[in-house]
Amino acid sequence: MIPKDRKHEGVAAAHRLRDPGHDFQTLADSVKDYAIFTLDAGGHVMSWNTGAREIKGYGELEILGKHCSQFYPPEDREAGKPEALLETAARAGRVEDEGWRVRKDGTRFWADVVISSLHDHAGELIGFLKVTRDLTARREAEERLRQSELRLRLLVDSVKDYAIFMVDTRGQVISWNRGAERLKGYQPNEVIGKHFSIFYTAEDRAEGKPAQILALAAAEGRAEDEGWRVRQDGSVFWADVSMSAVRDERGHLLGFAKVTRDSSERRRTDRELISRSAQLSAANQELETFSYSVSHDLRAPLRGMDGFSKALLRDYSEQLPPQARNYLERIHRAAERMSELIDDLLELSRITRAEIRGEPIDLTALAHETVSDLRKINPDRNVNVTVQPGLKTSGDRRLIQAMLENLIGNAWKFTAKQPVGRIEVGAVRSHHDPEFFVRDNGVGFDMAYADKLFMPFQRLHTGTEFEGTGIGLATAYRIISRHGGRIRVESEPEKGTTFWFTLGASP
Amino acid sequence: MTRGIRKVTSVTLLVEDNEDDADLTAMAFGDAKIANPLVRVRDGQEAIDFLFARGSYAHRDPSELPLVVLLDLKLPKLSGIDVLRAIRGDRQTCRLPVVILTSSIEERDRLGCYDLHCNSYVRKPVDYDQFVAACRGLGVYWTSINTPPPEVGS
Repeated sequence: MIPKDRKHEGVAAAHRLRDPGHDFQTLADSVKDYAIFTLDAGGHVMSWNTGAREIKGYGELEILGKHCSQFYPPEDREAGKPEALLETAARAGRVEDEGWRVRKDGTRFWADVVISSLHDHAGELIGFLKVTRDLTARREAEERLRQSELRLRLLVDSVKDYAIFMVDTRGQVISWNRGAERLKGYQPNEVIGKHFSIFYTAEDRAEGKPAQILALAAAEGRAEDEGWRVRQDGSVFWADVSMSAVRDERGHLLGFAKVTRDSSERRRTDRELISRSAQLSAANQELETFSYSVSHDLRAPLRGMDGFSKALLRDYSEQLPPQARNYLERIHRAAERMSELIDDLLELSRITRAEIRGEPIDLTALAHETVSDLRKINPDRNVNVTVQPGLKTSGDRRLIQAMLENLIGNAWKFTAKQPVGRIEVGAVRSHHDPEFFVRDNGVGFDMAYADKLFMPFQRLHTGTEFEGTGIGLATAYRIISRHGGRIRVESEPEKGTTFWFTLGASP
Repeated sequence: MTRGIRKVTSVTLLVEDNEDDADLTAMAFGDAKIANPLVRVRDGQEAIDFLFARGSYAHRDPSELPLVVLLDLKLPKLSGIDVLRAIRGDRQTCRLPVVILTSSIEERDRLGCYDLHCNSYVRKPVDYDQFVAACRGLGVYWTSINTPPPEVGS
């Protein structure tokens, strides 16, 4: 151990230390970023420069002759670190240390310290030169970087759905995350150092795909690929791959970051979607062919039935008994009804296939038009109609008009037996979309049958009570659902019926 | 024969494959008291052969054109649309009045026919009385009201 307080010897030593180094002291004084100072052989401060004042906070006068151990934190002093460093420097000529040091005000800084031993001509130890650099800022930056790297590594590692790994410039795996483990089945120790082409199928390897994607990523910065990849157990999955070149600041290629996602599920749903839509378009095509044929071929036989029964009536009337004439009349009516059914069915099918065009629609005006058409057809009917002004929506004008004609026509028809029919068209606003209604005081029906109402050919009244094909409401239902809306009904026998409907997005 | 000279006859050409419909049309023409002769062909190819004096109609004078063609759409071999296209595509027949007489009111049929400049599109009613009324209307219109294109054209 070197005694701590030997000031009287120290002053002389300081002279010896200073003497040959006037120039040195001047030079050292000009240095601000390094604390450069000398110690005597016992470790007492003999000289002090500007940098030492800056870094440690002591003035020259207050520190000269003091032992260097006061620059160390208490735990280091107790451990004998200052003395140990000096001894090492004395023995080896030089010692380097990095660690916490204490400023005058008690705050700590991270220091890089070099202690060199000084000897006289005879080779005897006369003291030490100590150069201390404050590395606090650098250490903090390094610490921040380390933390950020750690966070990134934890983040990458915690990603389970993506294989994220690095390969070097030749394509050998150098890092491996949890997602890669899960996706490809390899543990890090089984895969690091292996070439990434092991993830490719034999055919892709034969075609040189792995080399191609590396070359592309190197040239373009990034390359993407989709294809089959092989797991450790030999099974394959459909992968979505992105490979990015990783370069240092000067642009030297360091390797590649590869992100692989198992998109088997997406591929499956995509393909299912494609096949479904192909099926749907085939079904639509078939439906169109079917309705085209219905439109052309199903009516001709009816014309035959009607025409030839009329011909019988005309040409052989006297030979036919009344019963036979009645039968012919019924053939005529049946043909007529079948013709109506075919027309309504075609209309329903047309609506199902029609392309929906979106345009703003004045529902109030459309309702008035519909009512005025009905009044022209049945001028003797006494129906009181009120239409709320300003009803607006958007959709396909032709279809919306057909829907309104069906609903208002329905109300018109089923109020026929009231002395004064009342029909009301309006809307209530619920949340954002208005819910429109068509209300009548007609015959109504038992709500137990409500679910049958919107099915084609379902009728709740006999043809002798009210005529109709039973397709009108099915048509209205289909138009509304094709617009993304809903229809519902409230009814009570002999009180009346209200149809409520929405039409999806309002304008 | 001389191209560009046409002789309009009083014949109505009916292109109809369905026997019942053909008979009903003839009956309706009778009931509607239309005196013009009705010539019936059974499919699109026969219609072309008749109009252009080919095949079994090679003996015919091709410059003699019917007053009007009543054309069904759904026909064996060549469809009504094909026949209409052929009629409009030939200098001799391009102005020939063609009335589409069909069961269909499909949008694509109507569009196709009007795009090819049919002169009228009539849907055959199922009800015979209405059918007779339609035939009467057609007969009156094309034989009495309408003025045919001039016989000498460019």
